[in-house]
Amino acid sequence: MSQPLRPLVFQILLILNEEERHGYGIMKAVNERTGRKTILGPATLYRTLGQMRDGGLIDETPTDDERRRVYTLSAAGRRTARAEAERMASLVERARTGQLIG
Amino acid sequence: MSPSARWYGRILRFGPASLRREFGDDMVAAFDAMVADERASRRALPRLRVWTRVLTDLLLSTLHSFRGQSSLYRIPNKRPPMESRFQDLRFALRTMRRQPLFAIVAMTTIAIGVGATATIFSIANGLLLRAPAGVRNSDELVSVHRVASDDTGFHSFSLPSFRHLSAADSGLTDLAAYDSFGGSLVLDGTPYRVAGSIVSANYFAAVGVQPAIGRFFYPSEDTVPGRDLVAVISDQMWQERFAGSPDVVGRELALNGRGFTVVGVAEPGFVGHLAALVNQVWVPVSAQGLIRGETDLSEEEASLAVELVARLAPGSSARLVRDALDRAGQAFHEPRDEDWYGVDVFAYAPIVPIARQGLNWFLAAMFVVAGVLLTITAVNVANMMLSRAAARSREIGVRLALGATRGRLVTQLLTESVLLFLCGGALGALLTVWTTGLLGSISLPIPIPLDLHFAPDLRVLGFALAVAATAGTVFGLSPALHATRGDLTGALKENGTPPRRRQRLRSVLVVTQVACSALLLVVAGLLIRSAGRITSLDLGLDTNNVHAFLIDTQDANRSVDESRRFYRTLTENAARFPGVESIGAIDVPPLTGSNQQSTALLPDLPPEPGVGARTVEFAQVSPGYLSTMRIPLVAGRHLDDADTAETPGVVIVNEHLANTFWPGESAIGKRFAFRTADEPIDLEVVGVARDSKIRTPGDDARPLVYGHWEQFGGRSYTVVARVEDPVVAVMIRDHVRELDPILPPAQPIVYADLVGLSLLPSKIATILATVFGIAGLALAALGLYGLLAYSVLQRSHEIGVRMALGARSAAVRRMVVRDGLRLTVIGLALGLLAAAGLGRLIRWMLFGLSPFDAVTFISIAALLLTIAAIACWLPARRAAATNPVNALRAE
Repeated sequence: MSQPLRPLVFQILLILNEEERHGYGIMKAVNERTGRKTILGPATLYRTLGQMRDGGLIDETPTDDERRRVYTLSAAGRRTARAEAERMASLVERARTGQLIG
Repeated sequence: MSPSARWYGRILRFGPASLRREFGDDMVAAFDAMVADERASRRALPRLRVWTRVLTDLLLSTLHSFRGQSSLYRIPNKRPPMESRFQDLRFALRTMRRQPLFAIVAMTTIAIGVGATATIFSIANGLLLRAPAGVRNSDELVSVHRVASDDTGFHSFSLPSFRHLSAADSGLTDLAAYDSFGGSLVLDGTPYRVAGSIVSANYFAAVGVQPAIGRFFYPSEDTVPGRDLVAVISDQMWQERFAGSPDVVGRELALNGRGFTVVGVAEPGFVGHLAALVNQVWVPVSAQGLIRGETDLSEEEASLAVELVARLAPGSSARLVRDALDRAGQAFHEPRDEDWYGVDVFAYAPIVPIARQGLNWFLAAMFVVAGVLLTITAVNVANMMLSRAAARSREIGVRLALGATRGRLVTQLLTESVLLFLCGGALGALLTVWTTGLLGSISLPIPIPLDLHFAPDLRVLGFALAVAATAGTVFGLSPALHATRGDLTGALKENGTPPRRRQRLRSVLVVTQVACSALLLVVAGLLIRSAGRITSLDLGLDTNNVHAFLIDTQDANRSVDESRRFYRTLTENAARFPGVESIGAIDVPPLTGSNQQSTALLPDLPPEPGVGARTVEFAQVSPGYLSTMRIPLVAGRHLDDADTAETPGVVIVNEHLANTFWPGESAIGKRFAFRTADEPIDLEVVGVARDSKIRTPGDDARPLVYGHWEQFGGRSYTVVARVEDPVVAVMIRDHVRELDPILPPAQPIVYADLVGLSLLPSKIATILATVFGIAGLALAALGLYGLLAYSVLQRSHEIGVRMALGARSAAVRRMVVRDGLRLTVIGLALGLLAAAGLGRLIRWMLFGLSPFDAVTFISIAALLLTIAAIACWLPARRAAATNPVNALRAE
């Protein structure tokens, strides 16, 4: 089984799977989805984005506005996200067969 | 880019360099976007929220990158992190127990710094943040003000204007009007002074208060002027005057000579929505004219004004409200040919709106002073930790050599310093219980009930701990980083030479320490010197033996004519009392911080550019006033009893006005007019008085006109009497009661106490700055000695070599002192520069003293240099006495 992803990395992959976004857009989306329980700030966001780009999970495209880069999901990113989702699904399945949840 | 975003960009330099290089611009842009989003969400303190978030985020991110956490995957922890956190905590506690003296000294030092900052925060909390009891969901409340022609805010509205605005659709659930009044309440034949407010019927709903018993006002009760005489009283008054009896509802209250029926009692604790002011009774706005004793009750005619407080409807915002009210106001005022410059809408704060700006300045200055003291204490503790880290360098060296990561050791050392600071912070919060108790016990020498609540609450505790934790991180990080950076071989050797960086850090600490002390001491010195000057200041008048009686015949609902007769009889009769040297009256007593202005139209003089007329200070006085206050005439004659409402208007002007309006000419016989609502009042100058201070003892000279009280007519005067014996003052008070039994008792106030009122902010500032200054000086002296002594100790090897090579001990002493003083001078220069900058912030509290007062600056510089010289000389003597053999043997 593949190694579990950091939750923030997985969240970002899920968000970029829907549509491409710039950095602040990702930040807002993460904060909305986690119900503002964990507030994501710019330093953590861009540090993680840098790592994901270096790891080949996402692609960075510069736009006309120099200060706004747009991030898209790469093929490797899509595969990794799918693997993580399947890993989670199998965990959930196991919880279901163990009648932990309905 | 906003200025705060620019600051964020600068702060990013303290984070990981790679992150800033690559994403700095994006992060700054994100910061701006966050601020914009927070603003749009209409929650309180948007900027503060963003700052807290980004700073925590940056700190965590920096720590993560220190620990090398860069994986995209979850790192399987060898040990659960919580456990290692606990281990750090246990270890920190053990270190503290092992060196209890170190811990106690450090914590006490921190407690002083944090306590000072938290005390100032408590004042801000009590006056700006904490809504008074009974006020609900205060984050939805806004205060609405009219903007005046000169673009200044905080002006009130006329009643018709309020009624029109409240009918407009403006995104508010309630727009309520209020205005305070002082009055006389007669209960069982005894008059009491009460403070109350005139409010619109929806006021209680807007603020969120419930009745304890009975009801609040019906909307119909605040519409027809003078028809519905109903009142709501405070729970406090209900308990004190009516013993909490429920049949108070329906009782009649004799308020300012009119019978008001009590319809309800406000919930316990509620005494109004503004801090510090205690209301005992509320009446509907429609009773405003009546309670003020106006003869014409029609709202269109009466010159009555109200302040507005409002509750935002869900989804609305201050900006939307402002735009809507702007339009509504324009639609109302334009057809009537009245000026309309729009409204200002501010988030609600418990302080009286007009005092808000002054308070902000005061708090800003005090926060800087307290922050400087905090820095001094934190530098002291950082130095102590640095010394201890040096003593522990072997332990740290061994652990590094055995394979502990640097991040792990930094975390552990940081845990120690943050724990130390948190304990100190908690002590500091305890300290505020005492300091705020002192501040809350301030009472005013005037009969206005004040209710100052500065007692620390959870917010203050949270603030103290947050400040402590931040200081612990900031001032613990450098020693921790330095302690773990050393070269291993050096650290493992006995008595290894200290790394150069550590010496540099110490130099930075010395410079910071000196700079902060200089800043603090200069501010304290300026305030103390200015406080000393007040007593020796030439005020232009003599308040010794003068007693003041604040009387307002509106309290007894007297007409202007009745008032005129009352005051004339009072002053004429009292002047004949044995022991009364002289007696007079003035409507706006000088040196109490208040003033009134009028517009003078000068026929022979071109008006001020763009103004069309000249603004002058104006006071109505009785003929005896000037001689009672011993303000001499330099030309012309006094006002006298022969001048009456029927004779031509005459005034006395001060020298400043005479010299400004008619330079080089005699002012006697000159004419000018006062612009009024109806037609200009024509006036002739009959006398010139010496200049005297008007608003505060530190006031600049201003043009002033003394008008004859009979020729203007008012109902509120301060009667001043020069009497040797205070018993005579009591006789005058009793005579007031004989003349008008309904008037609340006019207690004699020593005039100097009244002056003290306008000096209150600067007095508080002086006390705080003095206490902070003394604490700062003691801490700085100790800290400087510690820092300098330690750096000499560190150089004992170098000194040994120099002496072995033939340096004389006198030369060594000189060298050590010179090095120490060099740092002191740099710190001093920085501190004095900062003090010169801060001087502008406290200028208004310095009575005529320049914020760049050379005496203060030079004596503080000399003081600090002396302390530094002693702090250097003692260790220098020891260093020069070093036996070179011993020093070198350590190698």
